[in-house]
Amino acid sequence: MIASSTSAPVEQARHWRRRLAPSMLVAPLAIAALGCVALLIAAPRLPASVIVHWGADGTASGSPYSALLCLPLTALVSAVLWGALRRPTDVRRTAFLRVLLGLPLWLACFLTIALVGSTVLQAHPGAPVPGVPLLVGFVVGLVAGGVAGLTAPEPPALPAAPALRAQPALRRGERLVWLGRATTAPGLGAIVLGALGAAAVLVVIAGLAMRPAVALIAIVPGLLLPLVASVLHWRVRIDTRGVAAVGALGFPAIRVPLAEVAGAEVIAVAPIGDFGGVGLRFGRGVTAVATRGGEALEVTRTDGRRLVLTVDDAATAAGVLQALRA
Amino acid sequence: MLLRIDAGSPEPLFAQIAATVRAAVLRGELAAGERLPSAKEVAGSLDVNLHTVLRAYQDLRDEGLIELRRGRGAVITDRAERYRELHDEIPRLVARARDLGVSPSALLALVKEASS
Repeated sequence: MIASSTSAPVEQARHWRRRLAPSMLVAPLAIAALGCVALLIAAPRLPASVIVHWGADGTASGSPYSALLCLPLTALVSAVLWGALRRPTDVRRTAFLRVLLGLPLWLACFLTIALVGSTVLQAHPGAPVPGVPLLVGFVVGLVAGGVAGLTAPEPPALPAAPALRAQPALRRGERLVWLGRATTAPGLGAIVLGALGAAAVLVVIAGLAMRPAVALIAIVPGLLLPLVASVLHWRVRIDTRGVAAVGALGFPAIRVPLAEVAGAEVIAVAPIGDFGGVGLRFGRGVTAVATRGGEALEVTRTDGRRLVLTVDDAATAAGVLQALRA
Repeated sequence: MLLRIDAGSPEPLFAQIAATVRAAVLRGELAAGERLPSAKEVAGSLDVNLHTVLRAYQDLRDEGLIELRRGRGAVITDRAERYRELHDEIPRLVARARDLGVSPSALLALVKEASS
């Protein structure tokens, strides 16, 4: 395919994301780190075993150091969200985006105040109700995260979809096929498959340690693995039979007969903003194979439903489909 | 990749398929390392015999533009870069021939003659 160069939209997106670093990375990590320092200072005065409020039955006792978890948890969420905003095609100006932008700060305040607060309070006998830090953390987080999300700078506009590349109509005796693919970035695919694989392994290990029957739960991620692997990469074919999109392992298969194709266009999509995420998505009247952001083929059916495929060279694909219908 | 053939043309179908692949390489739509769709898939879509597509792929392999590997299918080779070099020169030659009133078939014959 034609190599894409580092363009103005990519530069704009990088610049926009850099401006978010204070509220999405620096502040959340600093708050969690401060909480950890406070805990370490208080630790010598704490009993060896404290009540860990977020235990399964609410009264489980644990090490006071378990509150240190607020730092890695905050770092993980901040890093994942930060990574998700890497490309200009990944964001759209929606309310949901504001929630994502405020989430790291909310989480940092909530986790730090709730975990560290409730642990440190136990150094003082007769301290206030243990639920108070939880509530305080939630509210403080809501205010801080809300301010961060609402005051974040407006993201750059989505790059426009390329113009449709019209193809001459078919003459008698002519045959035409367009073969393309919709592919997820290798890094993202590796993360998704790695996480599922790790989940399966963890369940098996935990199951064998507790009760072998529990290991059977690994069947769930085990079954999901091929399904998810299959929707990471799609082969798309457009010919006289219509449009066919087939997952890497032969399933799922989505087909639209040519007689049911009412129109074909090139559109720009942002998977998170438009479909709530990446992969095979179902929305109101729309089915989307959204493996990435950017140009996509939009097929409108005669009954009004739409099929969106993030194929490479969507401009040609749409032109071919229009020519086949002519 | 776009494949377009004309069953009514006197040019054999396998040659038309090979020509489409070459044109895509020349335009830079197919780069070295990219995989062509399987012969079976192409044959089914264009409603032609599987052997017609295989013949086209074999011709492309013989000229070194693709590699046929068991299990991996047809892969574009590094020669694609060399084809690409001709991208600007061929239209120039064709335009010049048109200006001079040399017919396409005569130009083709001249190129063949000069290459042999």
